[in-house]
Amino acid sequence: MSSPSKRREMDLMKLMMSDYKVEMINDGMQEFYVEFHGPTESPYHGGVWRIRVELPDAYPYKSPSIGFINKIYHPNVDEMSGSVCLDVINQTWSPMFDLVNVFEVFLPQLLLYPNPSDPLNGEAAALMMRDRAAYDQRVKEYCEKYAKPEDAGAAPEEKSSDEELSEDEYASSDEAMVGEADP
Amino acid sequence: MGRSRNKKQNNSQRYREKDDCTVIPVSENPRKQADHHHQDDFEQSQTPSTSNYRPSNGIKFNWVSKNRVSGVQKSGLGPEFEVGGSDSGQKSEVGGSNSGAVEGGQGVDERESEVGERNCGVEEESNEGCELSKEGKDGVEDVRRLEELQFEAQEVELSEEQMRINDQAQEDEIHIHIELPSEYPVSAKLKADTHTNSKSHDSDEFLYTFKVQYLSPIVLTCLLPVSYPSHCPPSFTISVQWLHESKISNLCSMLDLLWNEQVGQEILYQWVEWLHSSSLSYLGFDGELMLGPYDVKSISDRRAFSGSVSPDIDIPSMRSYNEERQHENFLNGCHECCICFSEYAGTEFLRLPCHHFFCVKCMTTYADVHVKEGTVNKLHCPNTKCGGMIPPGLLKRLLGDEEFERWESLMLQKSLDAMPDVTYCPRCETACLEDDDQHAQCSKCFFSFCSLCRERRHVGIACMTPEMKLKFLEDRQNSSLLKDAQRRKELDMINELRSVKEILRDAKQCPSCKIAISRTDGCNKMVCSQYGQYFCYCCSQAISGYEHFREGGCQLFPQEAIVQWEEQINARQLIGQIQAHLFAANARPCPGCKQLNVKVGNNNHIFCWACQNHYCYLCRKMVRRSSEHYGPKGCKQHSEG
Repeated sequence: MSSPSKRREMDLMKLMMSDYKVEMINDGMQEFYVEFHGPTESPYHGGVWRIRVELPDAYPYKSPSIGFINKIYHPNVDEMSGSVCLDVINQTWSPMFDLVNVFEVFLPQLLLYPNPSDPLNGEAAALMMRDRAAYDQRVKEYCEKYAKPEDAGAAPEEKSSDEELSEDEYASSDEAMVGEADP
Repeated sequence: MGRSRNKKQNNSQRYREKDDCTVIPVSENPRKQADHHHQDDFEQSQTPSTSNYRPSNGIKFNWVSKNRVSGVQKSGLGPEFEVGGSDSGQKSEVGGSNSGAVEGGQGVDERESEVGERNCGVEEESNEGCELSKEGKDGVEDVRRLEELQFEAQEVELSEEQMRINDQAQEDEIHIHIELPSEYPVSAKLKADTHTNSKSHDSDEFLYTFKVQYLSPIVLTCLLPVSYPSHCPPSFTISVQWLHESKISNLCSMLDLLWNEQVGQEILYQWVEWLHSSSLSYLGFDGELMLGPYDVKSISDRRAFSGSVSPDIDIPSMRSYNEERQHENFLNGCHECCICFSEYAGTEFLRLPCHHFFCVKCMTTYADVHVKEGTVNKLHCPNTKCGGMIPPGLLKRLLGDEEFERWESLMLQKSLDAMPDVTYCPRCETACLEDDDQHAQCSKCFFSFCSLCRERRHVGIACMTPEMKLKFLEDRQNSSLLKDAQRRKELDMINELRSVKEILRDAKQCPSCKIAISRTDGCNKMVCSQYGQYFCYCCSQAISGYEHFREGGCQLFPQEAIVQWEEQINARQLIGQIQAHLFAANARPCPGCKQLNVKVGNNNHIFCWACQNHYCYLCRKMVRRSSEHYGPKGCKQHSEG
């Protein structure tokens, strides 16, 4: 079903008016990039992320899909692909919400209060529950590494997730016991 | 005119019923005097049009029969009326000039035009003298014609009933709508105690306030006598639904005052204006309207009609009037839908019980999307802070019958799912309630079953173990008695059971989060990666340190592990290692693996304990054949040091 384009136009305009850097992908008003800064009272403060927003056909009756282009360490964001758990947005979505709401209210809230009951990044969720300080630290590290302003301003081909395979998997402890010789 | 007037307690719109209306004289017998006066004047009157037809008809009558009064009047003033028929004829003519109730600011204008009309028509009284004079010759001509017509039409003899009906149709009410500030407070003192005779009133009273935007109008009904405006003011009644009689009486007195300030001039416009703009402040209700007083005995002012009964009747009626007007206003205006930002007329909007409104298109799409997706739990008021329910009747209109049915079944299913103690009968699939010991009875087929294993109720016996259940279900799969849906469900259950079985073959469950963990290496002290819970792999108990393994129950290392490890241990290796460690000074590294080896006795031939290579202690080279390497030409095989 085709939703009235007036609504989409208005939403986009409002978003641009609220001082967000918006970059259209194509002229169809379906997808675009937005620059997002981490909320100030959270460990994500100082980080800058490039966020890809996709408006479905049934917008505004269905929620938009949000994805982080550069990496973020968060229980509800998949580290590799950057997509935000859709259910979390969908649960609270209403047709009266608009894009400004998403960036002003919803995303900051998500970053400030992750939802560990439905994690896309199980490790992050577990760390958060177990050791909050370590979690905060980790988040900051990721921000340092991956959420610098240059990262967010880069071209959309940033999705080099193939090379970013965590070396952790290869860090097998084969130091083992001295003396364990393989026959 | 000795009739007493009944108080009208209800229905402000039509405040007087035909039967008990009487002429309300402004003063004692003004009319009679007026009549005489008038008749005297008549001959000399300067108003040709009216004077014309009185004498010509030979009918003497005194009033503008604008209204219902006439019939009664006749009887009351018997001698003055001669003919019944002609009056009715008159009335019907006059009737035409009544354009009925007029509202608000327009009231005044219409009134004038009414008057104008009357003047043109067959008028029975002279009023608004100046108007008449305007008519001039044309007016005279018209009147004469009309008179003639009227004469000809006079054969109709109306019954009392018909006259009554006609009269009612000729009511001349002016509805005056007061303009209020946007949120005008109305208060009423309410008593907690219902006994009106109790002495201690104050302690029980409390003030209830609500806000309105519209109040039902003040209805001013006038009857213009023949001697208006020259001598007498119109006789009038004021009816207000929300004022007490005493207050209305005050208003009436004010109207009298206004007349007295300008006797001889038309007063209706002033009256209406005053009522419209100053009546509330005159009564002291500038900022707030105070309802009541309710237990004060009403003064019998025959001009005041109050619709006020008691707080529990007045307050709801005022509120509902207010809402109606607001709704009307809304319908007439153009509004923007906050979902699609398009502008539509008020009629294209749907208003929910929570007072939020959205355009019909948006609501339809919204409902469709959710019913299609099955997310009926989210189908509530779109307003983010509200979330109020949407009435099913409205949904039916929006969705259409088919989709509405789907909505209903989805809602039912979701509600039942949300209830923890609802289970479905294994035989007929109807929803049943289970009680504490997992027992449920189907109300349709009366099957009594255990909700855990969904088998026949087994008091005292445990449910089937998973293995048994698996076997049982697998057997059942092949049965032809199973319906498709049930078969699929049981197949799912089988797969589930098999998976769990597979998982549990090699794994144990964390005692706190139940996740399955399998141990690949190391000791029996396990750490669950979800939340860091320590547990013993042997017995699956939650532990906190190594104490558990000292108690003598579980071993830290399983026996097989120890045996395996020991097998792997090579005695020679061990010794070689130790020696290399102890006599490091004399040790020489192996060319193959660089590990230090100490020579055994004098022998310079080293068999490396680490990589099992052979090498010469002296030259530290690998040795393939000792016979070749050692000898008179090569290294000495035995030497000290």
